[in-house]
Amino acid sequence: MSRRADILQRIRAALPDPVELPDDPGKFHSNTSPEDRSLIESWSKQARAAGSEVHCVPDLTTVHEWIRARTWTGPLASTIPKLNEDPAFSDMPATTDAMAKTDLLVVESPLGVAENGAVWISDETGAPRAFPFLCREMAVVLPANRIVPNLHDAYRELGSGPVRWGLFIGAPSKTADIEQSLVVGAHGPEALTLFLLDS
Amino acid sequence: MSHARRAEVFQEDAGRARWHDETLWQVRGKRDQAAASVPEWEELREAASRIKRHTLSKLDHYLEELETSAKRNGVIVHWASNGEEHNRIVAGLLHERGVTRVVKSKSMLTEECGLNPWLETQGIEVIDTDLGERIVQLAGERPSHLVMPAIHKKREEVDELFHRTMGTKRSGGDPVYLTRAARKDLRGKFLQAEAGITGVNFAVAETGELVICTNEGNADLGMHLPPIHIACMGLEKVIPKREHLGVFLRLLARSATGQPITSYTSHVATPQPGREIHLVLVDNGRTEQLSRTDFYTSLSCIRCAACLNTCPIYRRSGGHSYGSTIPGPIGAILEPGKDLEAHADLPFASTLCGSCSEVCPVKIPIHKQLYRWRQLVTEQTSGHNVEGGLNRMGARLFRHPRLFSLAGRTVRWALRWLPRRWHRHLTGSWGLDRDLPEIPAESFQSWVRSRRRDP
Repeated sequence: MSRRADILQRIRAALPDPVELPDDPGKFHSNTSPEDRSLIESWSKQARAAGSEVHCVPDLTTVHEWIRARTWTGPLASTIPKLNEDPAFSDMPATTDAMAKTDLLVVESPLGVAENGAVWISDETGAPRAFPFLCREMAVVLPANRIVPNLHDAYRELGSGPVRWGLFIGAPSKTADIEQSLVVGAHGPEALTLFLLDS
Repeated sequence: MSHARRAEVFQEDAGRARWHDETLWQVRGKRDQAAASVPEWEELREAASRIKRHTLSKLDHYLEELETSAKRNGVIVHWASNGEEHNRIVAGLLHERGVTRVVKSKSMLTEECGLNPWLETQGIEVIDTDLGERIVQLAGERPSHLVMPAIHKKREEVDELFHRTMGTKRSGGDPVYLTRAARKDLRGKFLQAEAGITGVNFAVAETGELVICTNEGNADLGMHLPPIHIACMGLEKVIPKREHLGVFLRLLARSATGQPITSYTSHVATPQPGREIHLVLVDNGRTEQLSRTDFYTSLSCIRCAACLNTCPIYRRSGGHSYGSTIPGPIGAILEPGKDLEAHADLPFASTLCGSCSEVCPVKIPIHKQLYRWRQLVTEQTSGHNVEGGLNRMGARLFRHPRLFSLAGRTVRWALRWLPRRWHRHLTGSWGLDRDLPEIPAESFQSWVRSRRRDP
């Protein structure tokens, strides 16, 4: 008998009494309207508490100005067409070495979560999967009307259709493994800047 | 060596023991705050418990569904009955591709299977990439905590360790300097690695996606950089639907560290073009635990370690005192299921205060299962029956009044006249810092007799 069949048979012989799934999976969805300004407040507060820098901006031009006002030592990359008009942004790097040398990666997120300050990115974002972990700094642009109250709402928004790869980013890469002292920039970016696009 | 003896060793360094206790209690405090910030917290726990017990009651069905979904996504699925099979499967995959350098992110399952030492005997270099795990790997130790593997180490020790193994400067234990040094060293290992091994926090049967949570981002680098990603999971990590992730992810990080969510929560379903993802499903005693009506809910555990942080025994004895892969209260109900004789002391490493059950996000009645294991240990194992012996001795004394009064006289005399150091071991560790109450000169019986004689 194959391992698989063997294991499945052992499971069937051991199954405990049936337990039903909770009957109302929808009960944790929030009633807060997407227009409610408290979502923006909560999202910003949570993101800042987790170590991200949060800027409320009226448009992408302001994001661009913020980037231009900083001094960068390596190449910049973005998945946002408007930013890529600036020649300071190079093409999306193809090698991991080039990704690791990139100073700043800017992407747009289609979904933010108010209760934990997280943003969602995925293969649809347009950056290679490893890039958000290899760049030195990362910035994410989130339209203010894309914030949902909690994770249940977020998964409802994402649906259960085909998934390839997706990621909630809740904070910059960090560790507290040496005596519980918090250090930002463990393996991934040393800083995470979030731009809330609120027109 | 028993848990109690190892705990004693841990306590010898009083300063460190106090630091350990207080630090974990702070983490427990953060968990409390995070839990209190979610009004529906108790309902979430109930839902999580229900979903897990439901999944376990149809585990065959959900594993088959997971396998189908994962295959549809292009993931190659393997089944392993035990740790050795798991190790052979992983080593086989690596050998076939000529891999000699592997990066690994946190996985208690691979610890349980002893994967690292096994791969090393096969000539494969395994680098642990979670900072805490890297520290214990370099020190030649094992994780002492599920979430904070190096919580038993002081910064000066890490300083010395990195100096010795990575050639860093002596920094007096500067966490920023040491973390940067490890980052730089590990970045090189990531870029050179030919395969990445990760654990799995949740595997969704419906979509076939594997969900992996880290704060450092090390699992993600291990998944995305090398051409092959091997994800290893215990059978019990499957959950039915994607929507259930909402329930578990709201509970997990809050219970673990008090964060509302980990820095990274990765959902990986399909391999990138030209890459491979392998999923190894491991039994290793889980089906046996599933068959135990009293203990099967222990398989609901999501490894948040809240029960460790709150446990008065864990906090004061350290993870290594348990002598098992999974330490703390949850380890003390899981490990006896694998080898009762070897872990017979673990169910006793508890005050049965029940705090573990109170904080458990999936509502495992941990302290009740600890109590039940104690009963089984007493019934089924040898050499752990001091209490039983004392009870039998007591029963004999109470049946024989002369013997009883003789014993009373002897003990009163001994406690009064023998030096304290001779008899204090009778009271165990309780007596180390305490004196017995003053010993009466005569027994109650003789006092009554003397009162009757001269009223």
